[in-house]
Amino acid sequence: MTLDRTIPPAVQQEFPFTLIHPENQVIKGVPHYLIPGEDTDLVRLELVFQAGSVYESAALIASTVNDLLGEGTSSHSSSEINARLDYYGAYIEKEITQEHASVTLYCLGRFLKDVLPVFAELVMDSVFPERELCINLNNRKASFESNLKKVEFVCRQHFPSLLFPGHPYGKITRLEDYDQVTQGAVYHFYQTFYHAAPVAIFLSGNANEQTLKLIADAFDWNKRAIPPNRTPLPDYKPVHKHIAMEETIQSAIRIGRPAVTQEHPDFAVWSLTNTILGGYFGSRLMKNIREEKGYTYGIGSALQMHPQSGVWLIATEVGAEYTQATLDEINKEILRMHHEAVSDEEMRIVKNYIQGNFLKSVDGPFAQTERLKTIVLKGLPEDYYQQLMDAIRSATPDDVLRCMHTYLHPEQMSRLVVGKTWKN
Amino acid sequence: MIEFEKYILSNGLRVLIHQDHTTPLAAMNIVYDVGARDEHPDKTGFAHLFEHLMFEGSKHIPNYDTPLQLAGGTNNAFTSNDVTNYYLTVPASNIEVGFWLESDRMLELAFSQEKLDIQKKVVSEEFKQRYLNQPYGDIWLLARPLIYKKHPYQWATIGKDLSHIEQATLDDVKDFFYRFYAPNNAVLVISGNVEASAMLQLSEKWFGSIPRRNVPQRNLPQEPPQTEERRLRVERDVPSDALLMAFHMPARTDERYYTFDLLTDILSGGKSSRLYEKLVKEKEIYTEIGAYVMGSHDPGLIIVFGKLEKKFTIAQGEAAVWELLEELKQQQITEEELAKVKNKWLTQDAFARLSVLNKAMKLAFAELLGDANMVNREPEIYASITAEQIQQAAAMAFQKYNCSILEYKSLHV
Repeated sequence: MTLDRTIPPAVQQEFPFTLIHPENQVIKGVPHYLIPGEDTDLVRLELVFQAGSVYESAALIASTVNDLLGEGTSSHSSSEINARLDYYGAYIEKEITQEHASVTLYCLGRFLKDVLPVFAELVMDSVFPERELCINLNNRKASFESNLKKVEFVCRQHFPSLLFPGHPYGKITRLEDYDQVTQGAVYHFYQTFYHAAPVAIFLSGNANEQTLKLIADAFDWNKRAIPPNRTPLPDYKPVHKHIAMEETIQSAIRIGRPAVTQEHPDFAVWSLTNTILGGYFGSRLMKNIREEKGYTYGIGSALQMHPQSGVWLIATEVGAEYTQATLDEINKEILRMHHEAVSDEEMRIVKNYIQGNFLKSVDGPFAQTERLKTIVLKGLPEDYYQQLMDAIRSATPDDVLRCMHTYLHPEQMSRLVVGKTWKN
Repeated sequence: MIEFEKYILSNGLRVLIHQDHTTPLAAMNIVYDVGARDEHPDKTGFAHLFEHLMFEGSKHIPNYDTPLQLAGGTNNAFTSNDVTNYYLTVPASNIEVGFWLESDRMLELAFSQEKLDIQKKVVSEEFKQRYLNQPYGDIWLLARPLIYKKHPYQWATIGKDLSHIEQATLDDVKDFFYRFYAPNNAVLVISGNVEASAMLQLSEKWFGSIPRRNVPQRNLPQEPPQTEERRLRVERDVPSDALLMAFHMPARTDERYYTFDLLTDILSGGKSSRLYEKLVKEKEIYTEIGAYVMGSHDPGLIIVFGKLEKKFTIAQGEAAVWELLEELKQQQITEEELAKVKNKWLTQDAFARLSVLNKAMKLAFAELLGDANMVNREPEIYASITAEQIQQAAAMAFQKYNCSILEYKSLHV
């Protein structure tokens, strides 16, 4: 029998997933979560503090504290600590968002006992020696200065200031800021936000209940976390801006607006709408601006989440000569989604893509931890992702139209172009 | 241990299957034994441009991405100087869609002038985005022809310059396909929540009838041993000076490769490594510096690359690196330092085994190099490496006559 290659194999269109939501165990006032994974030798331990950049009194303080944890404690030098961690093949990962700062330890399970005292010491007893601070700031400043030559970086850095002027979310870091950071401010921030109990502790991988006890014993917290202090959001007015970098051959473009957050009933449909327009390789923006016109190597759109507001944005880098043409095509694609209902076929593709991709994003204990973290840190219901996937599955073309009409008018968009001055 | 079963179809396609029932996913990886090194010196960038065209529809399937998205899958590809690699992940029950898509584009592409013209534009924008419109972006475009005088590693996968991509014709595309895209020039790996026997059946069903093709025997000009130091100075609009030093070393398949890998970990694995500890922290000569091996299939390179603190000249920076490399050649590495780099490797290896896609890729690359089981022999190989061997590797590589130096000078310092 010859094979008919024009007929695709039958496809299963149900994408059931399991999300583990372990009971939290409150120890020393901190909720601890354990997601064991028997198939890896690696253990992952993450401490999340309410120590994000919205809490800093001056630029760069929060990121400097996070970055410098472990570069010197009251009993060990930076070199001694790094030598110890490296000896056991341990990795420390640090991350900072607007709201939270986290410190994550990865190591082989058999070395955890040896690594844990060092890790606990760097979290609880860092002293931020003046020399370490100077080297750190100097090196980050050099890297920042180099980034300022990149249209994409400048665009990413400035775009939030269009949406949230005067608010911490819209803050722009400047090169001079690296010269203003003082040891006093750094240490004060550390004492205030890292000596307070973390928001949560997540343990996953090669770990069990005993490991959890070991960890709880290694830390002591003398203060409660301070309740979050929120600056009210400014009223949103769309702004168009161009930052000239005349010597560049590609321009970076961002177009977008403030968005709803995950708790909002429209989040699921907005998320689906975003995927159709620019959220995956088969999206309309990608098909038109890359695959039909060849103006760019890539274009995409995304929803980003902060506690007080989301951001929806389109981002791309295009040949400078295609700047206006790209702006026009983006506009056309947005308007097309206002005027024409999305076909059932396209709805099906996007829904399946989202669900398949979600399944991939919860594969393994570390990926499961990432989802659990979102639920815990944002205070979402335990079955949040089930609800979200159900809502996406049941959304209709009319829901997408309604989302476009409510939130995504071209006149509601702010726009930033970084690069050559262009002709309309 | 990554357990696998291996079969060779009658058309020469090697099929490897790894079962992992802890995941709901399956991954498929196909590596073709063709990379930028197989290009004609006047038509560079072609293997990579071709990779783009592989997503523009095949003989019976007008669009590659849509059916995969419908099956809940994601995919991508990359081209290196050695190979072109395609991969996808889907919910395991939909893996047959991967067989259907991948076998059709191995069978025959839907060639069209229009699609070629668009992808030439896309690749030109990629060239600009990655190499031309970035500070320090052209470093590899400059370094490769300095380091390699005969071997085709002298050009980057993106090509020597934009004009080569602009001049590509449809005939070039067809010719390239039939020369290199053949079952007997590829390795197929399926990993994840699948049954081996079913995967073998699907391999036969979809790939079995693709004809074997005449793949030309690779006969590349080999790089003669370097006999004297090479140096290139350029000035660019960047904020800090940078320095790149390249040293020739054995190929990926040479048993000494692993020793060189640990050698670069001694130099730059983690904050306690020698380059960081001495040159960033102690002497503050560099704001960042690192070293790594390029695991090329033909003899490769150790690269040392750093950006200088503004108070120091490139000459001072280079002298500091040499001093440190000499020390490594003269003084024996302690048991503690050796244990450290071996422990670091164990952690990295555990990371590399976390996802079914990573496991599939590791198997595919090892098989292409001659033996998939090398992925399982690596732990014992790394464990057996001695301090003396690392010191010998350092003595072999870190010689002035074996070094190419790119001085990347800032216009502003």
